[in-house]
Amino acid sequence: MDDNSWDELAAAAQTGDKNAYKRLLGGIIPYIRAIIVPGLANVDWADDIVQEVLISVHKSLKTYDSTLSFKPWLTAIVKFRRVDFLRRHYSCRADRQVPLEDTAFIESHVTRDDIAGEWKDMEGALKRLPEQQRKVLEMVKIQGFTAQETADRTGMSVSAVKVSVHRSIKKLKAMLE
Amino acid sequence: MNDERIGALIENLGQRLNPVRPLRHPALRVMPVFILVAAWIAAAVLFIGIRHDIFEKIAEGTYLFELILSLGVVGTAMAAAAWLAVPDIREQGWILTPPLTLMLVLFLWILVRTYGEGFHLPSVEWSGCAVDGMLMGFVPVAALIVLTKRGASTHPYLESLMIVMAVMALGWVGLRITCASDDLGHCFFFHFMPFAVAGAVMGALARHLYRW
Repeated sequence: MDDNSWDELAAAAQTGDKNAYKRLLGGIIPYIRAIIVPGLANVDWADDIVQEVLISVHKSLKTYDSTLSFKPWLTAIVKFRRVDFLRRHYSCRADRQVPLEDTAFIESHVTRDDIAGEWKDMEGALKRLPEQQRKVLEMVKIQGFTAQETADRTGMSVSAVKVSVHRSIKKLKAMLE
Repeated sequence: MNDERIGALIENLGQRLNPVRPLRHPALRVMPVFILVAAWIAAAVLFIGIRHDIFEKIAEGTYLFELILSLGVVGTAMAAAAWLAVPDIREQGWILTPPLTLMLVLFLWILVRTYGEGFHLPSVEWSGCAVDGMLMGFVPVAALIVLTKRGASTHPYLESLMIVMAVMALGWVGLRITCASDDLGHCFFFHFMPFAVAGAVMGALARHLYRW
């Protein structure tokens, strides 16, 4: 897919052509990856950034001028989202967080067994939540996404996301009491 | 797994697509704001009252130069703010050069005046100029924020800087037309500092203000 076809697809998307829009979003992913992956400390982050870029393209589609090239417009968004992601990631010290399933880390770092149990309890309680509820809760409360961003990623409504988080917390409380 | 998630996201975004009306050219978008701001400043100046010696001052080359320079900052910074509301600045990054250059010249001008005329701290008292400045700046800053938030800026700090520069220069022009004091200490503290403080606050909030 060449640059000209991106211009045409983006212009068609602005008129509401859903097929053109899906082709555009699918077509730009390799280009987005090519920009964001070099220099990333963890290539797993690339998928998160790609998703953020796609949502940003969706939100700002009206700012694209079809008389100009689509590529510089997209590139500006990609670079912005990449920096934004890294800033958020490092500011909440996510680079120093460890997944709960990293048993090797826990064995070497948790020296007080009396507290280690609480960790396990929380992990167990989270696992007992329904898949969708757990996913939404983790996105909002652990990964720091807003309700709107979570709704965009999961296809739920914003109010459904809020209700899901509320219910999950109530369930967790009940399990841990 | 991740490809599935991205595929699902594309499908979801595709289903939610509605026709959008592309934003007009930034020059066309900023024009009504420019007219609104000019009308507001004219009304504020008439409300506060024009300085009694305005005709003598207009005849002074340095005063006129300062006014034209400040108006140049206003116009170019407002235009740059409108351009910055588009992610790639329409591939016209040079649009930032005129306001930054003119602002630098204005600062140098103030420094030259400081050197030439001497500077002293004004007496600590509540000056009506600070309030007048806030009155003049309120509508322009609100109008510019509304204008730029309708876009999708990828340069939140520069966006805020341009708005602050435009409003600061606008307030400077307005106050120089209404306030009869040419004392540099007074001008600095009551015509300039309130905008600088407001600008610092806005700069600190820029990422939140232009989050999208």
